[in-house]
Amino acid sequence: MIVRLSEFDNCFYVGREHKSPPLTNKMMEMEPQSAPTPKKHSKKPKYSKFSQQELPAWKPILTPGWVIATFTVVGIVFIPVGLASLFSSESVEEASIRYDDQCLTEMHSENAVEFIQNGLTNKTCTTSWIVERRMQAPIFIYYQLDNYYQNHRRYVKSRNDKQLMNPASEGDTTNCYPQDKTNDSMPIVPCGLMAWSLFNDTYRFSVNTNSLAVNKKDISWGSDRSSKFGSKVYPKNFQVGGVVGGAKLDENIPLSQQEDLIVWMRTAALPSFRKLYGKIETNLEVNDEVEIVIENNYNTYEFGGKKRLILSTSTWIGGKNPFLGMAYLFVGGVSLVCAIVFILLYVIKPRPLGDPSYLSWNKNPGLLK
Amino acid sequence: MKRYVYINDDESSHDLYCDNRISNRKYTVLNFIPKNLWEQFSRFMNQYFLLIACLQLWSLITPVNPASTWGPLIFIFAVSATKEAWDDYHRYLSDKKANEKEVWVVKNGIKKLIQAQDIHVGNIVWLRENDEVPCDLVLIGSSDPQGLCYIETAAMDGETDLKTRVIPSACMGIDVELLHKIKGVIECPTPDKDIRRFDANMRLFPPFIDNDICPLTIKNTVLQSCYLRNTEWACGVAVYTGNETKLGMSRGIPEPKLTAMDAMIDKLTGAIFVFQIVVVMVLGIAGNVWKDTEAKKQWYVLYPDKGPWYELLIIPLRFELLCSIMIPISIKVSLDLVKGLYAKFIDWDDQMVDLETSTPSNATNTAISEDLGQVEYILTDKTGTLTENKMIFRRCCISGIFYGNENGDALKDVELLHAVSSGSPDVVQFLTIMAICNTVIPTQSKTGDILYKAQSQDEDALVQAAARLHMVFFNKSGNILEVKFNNLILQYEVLETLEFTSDRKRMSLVLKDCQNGKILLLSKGADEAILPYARTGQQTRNFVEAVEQYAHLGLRTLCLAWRELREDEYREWSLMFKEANSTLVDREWRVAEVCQRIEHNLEVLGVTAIEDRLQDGVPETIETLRKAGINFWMLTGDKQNTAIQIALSCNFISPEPKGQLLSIDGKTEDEVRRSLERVLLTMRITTSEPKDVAFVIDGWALDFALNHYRKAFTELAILSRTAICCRVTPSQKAQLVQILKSCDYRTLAIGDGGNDVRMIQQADIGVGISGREGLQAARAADYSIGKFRFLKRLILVHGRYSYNRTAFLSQYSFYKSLLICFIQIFFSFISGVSGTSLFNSVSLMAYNVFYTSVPVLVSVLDKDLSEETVIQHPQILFYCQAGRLLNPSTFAGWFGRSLFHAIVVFLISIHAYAYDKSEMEEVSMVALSGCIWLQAFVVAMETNSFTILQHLAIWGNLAGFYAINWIFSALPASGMYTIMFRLCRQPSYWISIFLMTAAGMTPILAIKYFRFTYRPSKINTLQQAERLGGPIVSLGTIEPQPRPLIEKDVSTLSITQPKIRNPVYEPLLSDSPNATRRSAGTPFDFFQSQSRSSLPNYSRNCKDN
Repeated sequence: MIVRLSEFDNCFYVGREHKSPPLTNKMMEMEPQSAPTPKKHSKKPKYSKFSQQELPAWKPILTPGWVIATFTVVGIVFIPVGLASLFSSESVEEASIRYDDQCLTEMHSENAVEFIQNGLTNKTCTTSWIVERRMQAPIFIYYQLDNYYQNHRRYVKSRNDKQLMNPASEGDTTNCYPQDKTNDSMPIVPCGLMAWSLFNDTYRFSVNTNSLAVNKKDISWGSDRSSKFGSKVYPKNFQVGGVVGGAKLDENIPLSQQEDLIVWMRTAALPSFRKLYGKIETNLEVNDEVEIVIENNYNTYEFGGKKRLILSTSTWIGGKNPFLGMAYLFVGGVSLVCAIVFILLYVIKPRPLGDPSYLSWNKNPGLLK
Repeated sequence: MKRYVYINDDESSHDLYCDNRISNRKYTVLNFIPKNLWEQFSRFMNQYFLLIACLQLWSLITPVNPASTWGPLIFIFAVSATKEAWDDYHRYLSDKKANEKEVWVVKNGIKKLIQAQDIHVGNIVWLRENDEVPCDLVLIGSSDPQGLCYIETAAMDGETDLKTRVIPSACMGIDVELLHKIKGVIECPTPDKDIRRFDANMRLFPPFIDNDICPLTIKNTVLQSCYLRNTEWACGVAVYTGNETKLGMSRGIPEPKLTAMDAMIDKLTGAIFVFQIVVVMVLGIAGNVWKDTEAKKQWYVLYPDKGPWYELLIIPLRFELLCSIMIPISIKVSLDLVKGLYAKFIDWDDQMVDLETSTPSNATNTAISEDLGQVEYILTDKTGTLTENKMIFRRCCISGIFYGNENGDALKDVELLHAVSSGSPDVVQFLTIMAICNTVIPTQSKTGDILYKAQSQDEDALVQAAARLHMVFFNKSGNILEVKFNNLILQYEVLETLEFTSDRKRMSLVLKDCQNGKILLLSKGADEAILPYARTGQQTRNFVEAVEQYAHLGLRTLCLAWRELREDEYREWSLMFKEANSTLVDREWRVAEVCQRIEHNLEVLGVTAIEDRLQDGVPETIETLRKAGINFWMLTGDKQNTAIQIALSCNFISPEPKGQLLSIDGKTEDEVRRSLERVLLTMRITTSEPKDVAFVIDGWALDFALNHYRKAFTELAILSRTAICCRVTPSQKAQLVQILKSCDYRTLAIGDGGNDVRMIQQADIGVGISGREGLQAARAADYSIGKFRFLKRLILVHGRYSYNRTAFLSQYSFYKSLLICFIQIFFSFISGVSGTSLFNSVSLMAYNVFYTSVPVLVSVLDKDLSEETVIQHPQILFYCQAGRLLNPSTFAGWFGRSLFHAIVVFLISIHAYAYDKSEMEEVSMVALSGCIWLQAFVVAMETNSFTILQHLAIWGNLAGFYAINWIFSALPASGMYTIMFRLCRQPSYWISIFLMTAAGMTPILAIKYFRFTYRPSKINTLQQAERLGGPIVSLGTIEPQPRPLIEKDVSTLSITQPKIRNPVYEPLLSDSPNATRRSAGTPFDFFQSQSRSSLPNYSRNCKDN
């Protein structure tokens, strides 16, 4: 191996002082005896394994042994991993409560959009849910939006990271149109559609009539708080004129502590997504009745989006998502089947590799099909 | 139009005609940038990329930073421009060298040394021996008292013998001193490129000759680039100068050559472009519909009610930009890079170094190595290409005794040496004829060595051999020949010379032996021209046998004979000869007839055998390349007999009964037509027989065939796998190449002389042999090699590897671009068809520039089969010739593979990273990682041999991907701050990646394995045999089947092609062996850069029938 490596060195540093590695006699003969000249166009080409395309090479071919072994190994590894993933996904306790329709009273079901846009209607609604299985703290509270295109191009681009981080770039509202400036041309902080449409439903929980504390600290990424959202940048002119989008921000709290905003501004890649609302630090026992008071403010009726409240525990693989486990089981299973098919083929219809009888040139390769 | 050249008139013609400045340059300093840019933008790909780059400047539609396109674009342009500038600079330098060469020119009556570029039409130019002629001159004076001078025209027509030129009669006898003052006018045609014709008149002004018009022919001229030889000095009037010389006019700028592969890649690019347009239209319409129906309801997007007028265009244009990466901008750079490396591998190849002259092979044209692997026809010159062009006296038969039969060299035959030293009269007479029966001129060099100037290489060989056998011909002064034999000086006086003509096929000398006053007739000639005239009673059977034996060995034979003439017989004949020589009508015929009267009753002395040695390995090379399915045509300026003889000796044609040689000849149009039709008919009939049928045609008949019966001749060309064309001119050689090219064959022309230059430039690939006839061919050629046998390695090893490697590289480039593009397209369906890019600018740029281009570049080191295996089984080249590794079908395989991989990556990314993990940057990096992993495994799976470089590039690149992304993740300013660190800590990330790799690769592995084992291509079978060892030896033993059988096999293999040459391609994952590159009706050939005009009447399919 040492020999190979030094060979390889030589071929790249032609012209460098030649340190002759301890080579076998045969190789010594091949090496030019004189130190390589740095001249570029020497008449006779210099011998090197690289220039002669003779670098030592490993030439594997797809022998039945290798291929069958590969498929078997894939099968053997993937099935347990798949099972493990599936079990851990199954062990996640998750409760999903759709409330956008529940919180719509009979009166407003015909004109939901008007209801949600009217600042005077009472949007508080209450729902309750009985814990079916024990949920171990921390319990994560998510809100889930469906049919909501955070990844829409107009939306994705409509923010200004400089403004969010740096108090000096307050006036920098590039890309934020149409939510860049107020009617009197004052820059909006934070600007852009994304901040403007901040989710503004709120939830209060109580278990068996005892109110349940929701921890809203540390729900966003630490890196965002420290490096993306400035601790000296305060909201300004936010949601003042014209159409109000979503939640308003407390102008006395710097952006780095506006965790709901920070969470919201981590764009979701899919039109159906969950965002962390908070954490419940106490366990929920079986048959606990959880009462949830929802302030149903956010307008999803206009585009037929759904809103859900999710309570979920977590494991090493994340929340409840059986996809990976199933996929692993599938791929592993198919691999094993392949392995078996190839073994059978090999046994039933063995074909010697490199059989010269396949080589006779009078056979038309096209007819070999 | 005529031009009037006033001799020695310094004023008149200066402004009329150009000076002698030669310019081959394409650019000047000023026009370089605009002209070069214009040229580059005439390429469709470049226009496309420029358009994309410009669109990206519009921030409303650009998905990524414009720098990601502008950077590579500027880089590509800079690279090509630099290369052009460099080439042009070299052309400038070589022009400069020629222009600044100093020559003697008469100015104002005084001889001055000026630079060649300052010669003007009308100037008198003086040349000394061995000077190169700077421009086209009409001779007016020479050192020779008879007004002769000798020139070598090798640079022009490749003929190395000396040619005589004579000063016009009007200038004959003018004193040297007066030549300075000569005045007159030459009326000559405007410059043309015909080097065989010069019809002009000269009139000298008094006092030289009073107003007589003297006709001039090409005999009175010396043309640019010839060399003055064997003549002390000569002078002439410049008539054509600079780029207007006959050579300059015929030079022309060779068309840039495009490989079949490039054409195919362009075609596929076109197909992808169409696909892209379709995708853009569909998505653009879908996007606009979605916008008008859905997006208006998505209040948070705040779509304005009324947009600008171009509103409808925005979304399609966004998609155009998103999809622009479908056509990989890197492909041109990658291809240029690897092509450069292929060329370097040829330059570096130790096994293609001519050890005799230590000239390495050289790839001048770095862009067409792939075509080497697709050659179907090789058109080869004979002398100097197949042979060494070094005539050597090898054997002889004197009075029935064979010399040189044991060791193959008569000069070392002890018996002959003994016979010479013992002074055997027959042998001495034989040597005398060898030494003096010729037109050789001996000259003595300064060191005292005797150098022979011979018009014929054969005569040179004989004189040299005689000298080695102590019969040294050392002086010729006037009519006196002096020969030294064993320190004895013998003198002969030449009385008459009976010149060689191709009809007589012999030459004779009548001379007087000064020692004893006897008059002798010495003759030498072809056997059929000498033996019938042997003295009655002489047994010639011995000589006939000798001739047959030698011819069988491929030696050129000459019979030597003599006779003593009686005084009165000679005198009588001499009168007739003089009379015949002065006849005006049918002189040649009369002279021949008179000669006949004296050349009889000859005493035949013996037979000489001269070897124009075949270069080493020529028969083997031809045989190997034949097996590879390559057809050979021999185009030579030589005589038909010699050509056939050489063809026989180098396996070019097989002797009867295995082979059959059909001849097309005739002196008139009608004869030629009939002959051609007859041959064509025979050819059609015999196609089914396992017989090597070849045809032979000479230049005269070829002229008729090409001009009047082109259609029939083309058909013949298609039918015939072998042809010999003799006595052809350089332009006919080029025309033949043109015919084969017009039938859509890939042609390779190989030659060594200036007469091959046009053919070399015309052919798809020109190979020059840097041989004895100078370097003109090598300079004009795309490749220059030292010996013919290197052609085998050039084609089978370098050509084949280049083809395979480029086939993989180009398709892979499309695969990886399509892969990421498909993911973008899929993503657009879940992002409201709004044209959002899933990947950020950094990733997109780095994907093309770093992540995917490095591993594939090392595929230039890949070898599917070892060199030895390929040489042993040259038939494998068929895969390259038929374009089996790169064609719409294999491309469809790669297209399908990228689609499949895109689906795998996309589905797994969005499902594994759904709900709470659905964060854009994270999903984007998961998908990107999946692409990188998959492409690493794809490269690994398609690699046949892993050197350390491959391992480094493939796995190092994977590591590099993480390194680069970690760096970006550590920069707070970048959009992907901390993303990669977060992902690498998540088990679900790794689980997803492994899932993508496994799900993406296992089907491919399964299919590949299945095909490899149960439907193996020949390549696969050979791979298996080679890697597993053992059977390869037994393969070698079954190989030597009788040749015609193999020939038949190869042709059967192609006969069945019509079945698969239909436009229906199997959709396969990769390397389909069942498709061919010639797709008759691909729907996508709309911007095929090279439209080939093929004769519709002749489908290619009959080519091997």
